[in-house]
Amino acid sequence: MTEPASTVRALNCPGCGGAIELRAQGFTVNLVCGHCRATLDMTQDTPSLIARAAGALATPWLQLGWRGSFDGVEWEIVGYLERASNDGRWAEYLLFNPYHGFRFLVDDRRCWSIGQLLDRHPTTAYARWVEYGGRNFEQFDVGYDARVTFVVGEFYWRVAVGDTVCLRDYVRPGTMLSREESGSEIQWTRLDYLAPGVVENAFGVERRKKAWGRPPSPHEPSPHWPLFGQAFAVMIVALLALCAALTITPARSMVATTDVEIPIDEKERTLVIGPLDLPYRSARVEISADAPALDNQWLDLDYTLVDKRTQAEVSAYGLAEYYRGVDNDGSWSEGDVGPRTQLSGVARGRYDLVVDIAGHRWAGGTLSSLPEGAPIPLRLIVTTGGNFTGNVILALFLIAGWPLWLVGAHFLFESRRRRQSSFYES
Amino acid sequence: MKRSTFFYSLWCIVVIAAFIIAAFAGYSPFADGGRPLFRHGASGPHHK
Repeated sequence: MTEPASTVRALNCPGCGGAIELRAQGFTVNLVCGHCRATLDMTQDTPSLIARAAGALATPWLQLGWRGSFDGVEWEIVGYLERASNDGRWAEYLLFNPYHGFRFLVDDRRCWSIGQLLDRHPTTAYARWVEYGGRNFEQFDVGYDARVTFVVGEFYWRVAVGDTVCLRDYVRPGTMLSREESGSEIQWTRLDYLAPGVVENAFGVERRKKAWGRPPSPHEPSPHWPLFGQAFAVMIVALLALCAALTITPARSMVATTDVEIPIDEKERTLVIGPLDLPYRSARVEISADAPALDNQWLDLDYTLVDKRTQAEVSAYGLAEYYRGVDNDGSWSEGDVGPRTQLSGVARGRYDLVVDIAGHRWAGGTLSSLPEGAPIPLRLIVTTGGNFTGNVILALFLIAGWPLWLVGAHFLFESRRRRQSSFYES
Repeated sequence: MKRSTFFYSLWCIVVIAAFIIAAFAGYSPFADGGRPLFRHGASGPHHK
């Protein structure tokens, strides 16, 4: 198998005599010598000097003559230029393929984009939006001047340092339409975002470090949104699994219930409820108190669960209270007349529940619907099994945390991206 | 599937497994027996 004939033509620069290579024969109008940066006219067989160079040479990160493939098409770097505006600087590589023409590889030091001149101009959709290819693009800036600050290599148009064009960008995440106006000529370029590593892989160079801290490019898509899509699907499955787990865990069952009347401001009263049989090896126990008649009073409830076999104790506490009154702000009330006390990991066995109860009246309370000295009816209910609400909430939080973080990161990214727009409104 | 999604899936499995184990053990880090941290008993309304 024979190698294809080289399409590169070797020449000498009429400015400095250095060897130069013409890669896009028949297309190149302008060639800037890589040795002396003299601008050469390539429209004739023999190159002629248009302008001598001034200023220092810059070294492109990707060298002229390098070849790289994008979407299965091999492109060769034939030209390189740098532009600057009031907002920043960027580099543009001109790529050439004899069958596919030219493309632009744009590097704004935040991301890479590959661009192509549009043969059909976008149409105005509405207000600050244009339509192209069935998709709408939002105007990102009011227009800005961009000046060529460095140029080297071959170009199919006349280009020199100092050339200035007016640019206006329209974006949607992933793509930018750039409107370039120079004199009476207007041309549009479509720039497609390239993911990190794509350019480095195409040209076989070491991956460039990410530019941390810089705002995203105007058309840079949020890296968090695709992750959120996947995480959201996983979260839905996990929540369904959590619902299923709720149904297979031990059911809640009542162990005992007792009704008593508690005198107010008298000696503490002790109540023994039992025996209570706890059937699970290790179980949740809930003691619910209910004293709806409380009125500017409270009940101190000291619970002690005593294992009848080992005399081991588990102690707990409940407080039923209700207060109300009137002040300058109007009437107010506070308190919980039905406190629930939860015990964790109570071992299987037969227990007595010893409850020390003391009823008190709030000295500052002037209102009361109960007659002086009337006892407070109290109902105590002991249950076992069921799920802790705190565990359910914790599981929901741990499952939803990552998707919520991704949503937050996405909106933060979009905010930083949009903040650069001329039309950004905080 | 992205690597972060894979690890998130593993995380969800761990969380659900821990939830089921805790449910069958009747365990909760939040079940403190109703004992307040800084105060025992009451003496009237808290905000007035």
